[in-house]
Amino acid sequence: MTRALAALEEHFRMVFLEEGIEDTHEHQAILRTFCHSDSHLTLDALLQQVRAQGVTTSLETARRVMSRLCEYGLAREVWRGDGTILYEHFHLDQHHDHLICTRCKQVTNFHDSRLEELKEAVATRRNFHPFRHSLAIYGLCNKCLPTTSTSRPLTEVAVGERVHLAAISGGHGFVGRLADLGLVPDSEVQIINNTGAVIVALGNTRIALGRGMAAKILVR
Amino acid sequence: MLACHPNAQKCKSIATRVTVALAGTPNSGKTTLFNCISHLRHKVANYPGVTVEKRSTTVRHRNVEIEIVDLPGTYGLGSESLDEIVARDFCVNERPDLVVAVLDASNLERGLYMAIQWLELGLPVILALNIYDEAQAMGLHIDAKRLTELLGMPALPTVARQGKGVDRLLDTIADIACRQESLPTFKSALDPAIEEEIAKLADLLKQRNGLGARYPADWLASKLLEGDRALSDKVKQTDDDGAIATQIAASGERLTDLYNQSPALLLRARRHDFVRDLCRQIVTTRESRPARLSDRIDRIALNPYLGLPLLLLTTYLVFEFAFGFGRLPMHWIEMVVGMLSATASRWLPPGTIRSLVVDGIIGGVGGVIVFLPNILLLFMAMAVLEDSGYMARGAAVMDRLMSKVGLHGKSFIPLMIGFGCNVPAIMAARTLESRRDRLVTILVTPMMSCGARLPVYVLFISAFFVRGAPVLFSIYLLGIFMAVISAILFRRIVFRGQRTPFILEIPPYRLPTWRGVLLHAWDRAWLYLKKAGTVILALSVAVWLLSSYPRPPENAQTGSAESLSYSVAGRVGSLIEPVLRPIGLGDWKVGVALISGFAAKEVVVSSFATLYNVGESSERSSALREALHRDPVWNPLNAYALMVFVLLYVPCLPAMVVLRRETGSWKWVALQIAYSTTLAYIVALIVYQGGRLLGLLG
Repeated sequence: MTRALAALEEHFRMVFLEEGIEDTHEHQAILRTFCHSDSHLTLDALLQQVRAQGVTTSLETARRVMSRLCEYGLAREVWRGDGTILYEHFHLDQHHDHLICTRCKQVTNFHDSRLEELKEAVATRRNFHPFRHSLAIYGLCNKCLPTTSTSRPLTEVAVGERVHLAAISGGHGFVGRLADLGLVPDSEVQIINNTGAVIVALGNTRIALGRGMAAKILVR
Repeated sequence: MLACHPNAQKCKSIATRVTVALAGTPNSGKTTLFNCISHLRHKVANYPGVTVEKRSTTVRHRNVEIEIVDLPGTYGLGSESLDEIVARDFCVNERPDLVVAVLDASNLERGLYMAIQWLELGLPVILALNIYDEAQAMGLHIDAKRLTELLGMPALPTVARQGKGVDRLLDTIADIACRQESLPTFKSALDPAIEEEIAKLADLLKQRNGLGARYPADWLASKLLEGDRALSDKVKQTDDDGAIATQIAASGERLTDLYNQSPALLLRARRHDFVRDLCRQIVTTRESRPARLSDRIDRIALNPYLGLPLLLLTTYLVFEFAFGFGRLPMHWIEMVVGMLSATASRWLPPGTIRSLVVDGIIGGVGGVIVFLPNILLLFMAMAVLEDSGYMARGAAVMDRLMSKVGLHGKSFIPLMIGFGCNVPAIMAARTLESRRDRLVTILVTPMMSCGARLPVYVLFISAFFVRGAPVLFSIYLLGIFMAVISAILFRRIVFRGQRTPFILEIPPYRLPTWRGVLLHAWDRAWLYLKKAGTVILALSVAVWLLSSYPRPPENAQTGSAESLSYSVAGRVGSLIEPVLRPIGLGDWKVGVALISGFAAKEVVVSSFATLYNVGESSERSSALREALHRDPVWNPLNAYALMVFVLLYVPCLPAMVVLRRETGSWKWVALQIAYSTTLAYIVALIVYQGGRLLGLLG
């Protein structure tokens, strides 16, 4: 493990030299700290650890070094919901991919060798020589899924938004009347007014719906 | 399928006759097209407000007599509203030779969705792509020729507002009428599974049900699967062993399983798919659509804070317009009537004939005709509101308020029309889908003060009040208030249950045409004049007769007042007098006037005119207003009580007849009469006695 990390550090230093980046004491400390930590780090946490080693460095420098590392595919930024950036090792030995929940912003790592093989195969088949790759799957995590349904009532749609009808709950007569006006599942509507009566635009027509009824129409 | 009337078989170049049903979606300019055709060559039958179920007109075009029947506007041919049932029943029972489907070219999908339902019913259809100019302005290009090829029916662009394309439409109708061959049959392609279920049900219907012969079996089957209530009820009557019901349920289940959608939705969605596909082939958009002005206006008109005040302001302006602008022409007519009666007095020898002509006829009819300008202006304003599309916004704005008092957003339209005339207003309630909503709306509509009551107010306001407009507005507001109270009451006691959802298409704002507004107003004004010339004339003479005979004995030298007490009217009036005394109307003349007002509310005015002139011993027939003003019986308080009573008591005879027809039972008419008269009495009592307690009598 330590050998691998040492190799990683060496690898980074090579890149730095090639790019003409000064191999200062500060840079080395930052690089070492990052490579030897085994968790994903925020910039603040990184800075703290560097300073704990008695090296004085600024936030600016740390950010510059890290963004360089990212640029050359040696580290990667993982976006977090609260606006902070998490820096992650770009593991040379084992690559992993990410599942990102769009609601709670939680990042889950995963590794699937079949996927890795497939990615390699794709590149090879096209005569491409990959340095690195990334895959992020955006969606809803298991905790968030029950709290949001992907469809919501028409009354909760903002003015100007375009949505598709998902489902209409109600009796035959009600559903039939809406259908005669063209409001069938999958039809696209734009919300024109959403205070008092809900007014939707369907093609060139405008249809006013009572609020009670609009609440029974689910859209996505 | 028949292309034309059986008689047409004989026709080559000789005259023939076809019946054409004019169908279309609401807001597609169908009525404009109808008016355009009928007023081009006159001869209009069945005007609204008289006996209409449907309007029809007959025109001659190139040796073909074309009877055009105007059907109510519908979005489909289901049984969701009475309008749809009326339209459907007409076509099933009367089998018109042709259907002209009028559709809004700027909204082709919607229109075609409705038009193909006529085709499904097995009727030959001509498409009128109306409002074609607007579609072009939006950058839409419609390939009408291709549409004709695809559907096998003629499609013609028209602009009814400007009368464009109407001649070609008539040409096409005449062509088809004289042609021997029929138009090709149309069948929309469906999935095999759906076809199969429809076929199964259709076969069963053909074997076992008489209805299968009256309606096309396939069509009936698909309607039953869609869950059509009216047809299901009809089929149920002959479905003794429930075999049909079982088949409907089984088919429904299978389709729901297959498509994960109820057949009601499935069949409609497929129809939409078909139409969308059709449109893709014939419509090309040339440029991107600009942001709609209508939407921008609606941001204000439908604003939750501004919408309602704006609506109230608009309503107030309508009355201000009708009342304010009417004053001058009213004065002219008054002068002409005065001149007429003066001339008649000069030329006719004193006696019975002169009294009949001057007091009975000129007094009675003249008293009513004076209000023609008000009526004309009121209907002009109403036509502007309707034609511009603002009325639909009003309904959307009012929905929340209306639902709070047990009415429905759509009730707003009949109630608003009620300010013009209750008869078309009661009919306009047809657009309400639920029977409960319709009945409540119909029952409270007469409390909307109609144009015919206006003359009564104007007469008494001008005689007893200095500032007229606020008094007049207060009467209208009282009517609205009473309608609200009554709606709540009816909802609580008679019609309980869930309210139905509000769905209404909001048409784009359109500038009303002078032609349309004037035609509408003129039709109404003409009706008013006709009423003045017939009903009101007859009643004026009747009131004159009743108040002149029997005459007092020759030897009794008595004053005019006593001589009147001998007459029938005098006696009847005295009989009611005690009843009306508590509400401050203890004068026999009031009783007679109010009774005569059963026929039509403006007759109250003509009766007063006749009664006052008969009582007048002087030769000169003076303006009624002055006569009232001079009569010590009257004061502002009981004048107001009278106005309140006239506002609320029994709706006029035509309104009651329509009420009977629209509700289908005398029971509701009886309820209406009893309720409104009691209410009128109670409110007038509160006004008069309350006013007296407050010392308003001085």
